[in-house]
Amino acid sequence: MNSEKIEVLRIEGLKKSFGKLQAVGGVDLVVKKNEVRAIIGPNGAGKSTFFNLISGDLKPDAGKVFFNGNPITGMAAHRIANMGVARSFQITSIFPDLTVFENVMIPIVVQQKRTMNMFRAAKKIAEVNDATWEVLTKVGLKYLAGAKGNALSHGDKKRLEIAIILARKPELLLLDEPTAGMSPEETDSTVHLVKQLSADLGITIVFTEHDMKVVFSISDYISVLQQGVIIADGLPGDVRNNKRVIEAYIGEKKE
Amino acid sequence: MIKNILYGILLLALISCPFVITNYWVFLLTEVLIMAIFATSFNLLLGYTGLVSFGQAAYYAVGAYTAALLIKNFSTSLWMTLAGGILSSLLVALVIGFFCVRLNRLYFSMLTMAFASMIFAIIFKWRSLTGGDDGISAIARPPLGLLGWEIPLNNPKVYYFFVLFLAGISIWIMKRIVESPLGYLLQANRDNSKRAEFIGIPIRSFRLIAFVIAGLFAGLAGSLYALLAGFVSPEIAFWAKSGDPVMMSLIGGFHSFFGPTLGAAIYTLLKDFIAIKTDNWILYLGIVLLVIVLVLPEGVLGAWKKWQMKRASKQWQKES
Repeated sequence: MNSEKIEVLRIEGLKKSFGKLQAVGGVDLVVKKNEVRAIIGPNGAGKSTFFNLISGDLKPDAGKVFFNGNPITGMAAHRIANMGVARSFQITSIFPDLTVFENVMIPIVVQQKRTMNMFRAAKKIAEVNDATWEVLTKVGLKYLAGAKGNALSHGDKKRLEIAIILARKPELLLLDEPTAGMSPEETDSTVHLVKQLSADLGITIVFTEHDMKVVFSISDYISVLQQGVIIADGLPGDVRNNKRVIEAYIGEKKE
Repeated sequence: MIKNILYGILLLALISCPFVITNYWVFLLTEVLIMAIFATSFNLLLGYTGLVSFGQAAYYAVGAYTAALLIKNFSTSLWMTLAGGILSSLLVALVIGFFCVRLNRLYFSMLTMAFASMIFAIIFKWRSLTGGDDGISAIARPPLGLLGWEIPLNNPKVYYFFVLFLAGISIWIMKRIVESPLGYLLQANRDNSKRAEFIGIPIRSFRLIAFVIAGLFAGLAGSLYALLAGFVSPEIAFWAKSGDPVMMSLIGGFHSFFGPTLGAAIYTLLKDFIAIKTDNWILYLGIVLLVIVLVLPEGVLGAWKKWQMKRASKQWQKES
């Protein structure tokens, strides 16, 4: 094994403004293989915009994004997804009128490159079925397979979104507030799931989160974003004691 | 099980009824079948892809006029006539769809309507080709060539069976499509196009595929109608015609695959029934539609399914 790990994500001088408001103002970031990286920062720090720029939802004004050494700057979202980058949204994004099984089956169909098949019943294709059950079992949604997406509890919806993403076997996972609005039990099980994904499947994970307990329990590295720039970067212990970070957070509480 | 028996009975009824009803009713039932193709194809967009097209009359009319012109000018065979109708509407849907699928929601609907109005204007104004507001009349039905046999279709009952066969095949193909992997990608676009995009689906391409499939079946319906009526006029390209499949899908229920088919039957028969009684048929039709949409917002088939589910859950509660 090479001790120098491969760079999965490399970001250079990424910038994005909305009118006069600079949301992301020149961010550099390197995330290596199998790393779990938290992006934290007060509200409005530019975390979501940052995610949108990487995943193809927004086009950056300046800067470059590389995934596994390939430039993906400004590419269409579906092309970035097909390269192996998956993301969740802050507001849970599933297929509400389809069943849990169908929710997972759709990305499986894409994964197995069967998108142009229009004459065989999807549910009767053995490989599609098996792969769908496998993912449902992995995330613990097997018993809800027949339920409609919008009938699920908030926590289960978030889990379902992770299942949809996992079905695409991504190399890099971008999770935007994976535990937002969850009960403590749901949060614990999601934390457990994320740890498992990283350990068992070797997926590189970049996530944003407000819950500091979650952040410190799962991240290998933490980057702190404030007003569109990274003000601190490093191991959890170092970031926790960083003066600028403490100021940024206490500053927010005063408001 | 019960469903299969019901389908069996329905099919048997459709096959045997021409022997007991008058030609007037045979004509009307043939129209119902044609409208079932039209409405089901429209519902591939509305119910399965989540796109509300207000311009499906364009592809219906292009199919109908192509069929009429082919027969008039080249005396084409039946299969060539239908192939021409399908192909022309497919091409027109491909070009128009290319622009429309870029837009979302109401903007998509408005653009489909705008393009359909253009098609109407072309048909209306291009007198030398289409006959303008006179339309094209006396379109003779070519005989059905089948394995060296020639079956004349002039008898309305024979033509009814031919349309029944094609409607059955068309609706069966569309059912296969919505249950296929591709069909689920369309449903992914309907439910949440953003999510679909971010799992790697190029949603515009798939919307276009749905648009073209809907267009070609609308073209088939139009061609069959031209042969049924023996006459085409610009009216079938008018925007009110685009409203027909919308109405049919709403009446039958666009969440169910067979909803639009049921809606096509109700709408067509109701329209005919009221039109015989009064000149103000649009008013009465409006009232009936209003009641259906208000009382059964999920359509007739949707309401039936809901009622069945309620009954099943009651039974289940009793047993446990």
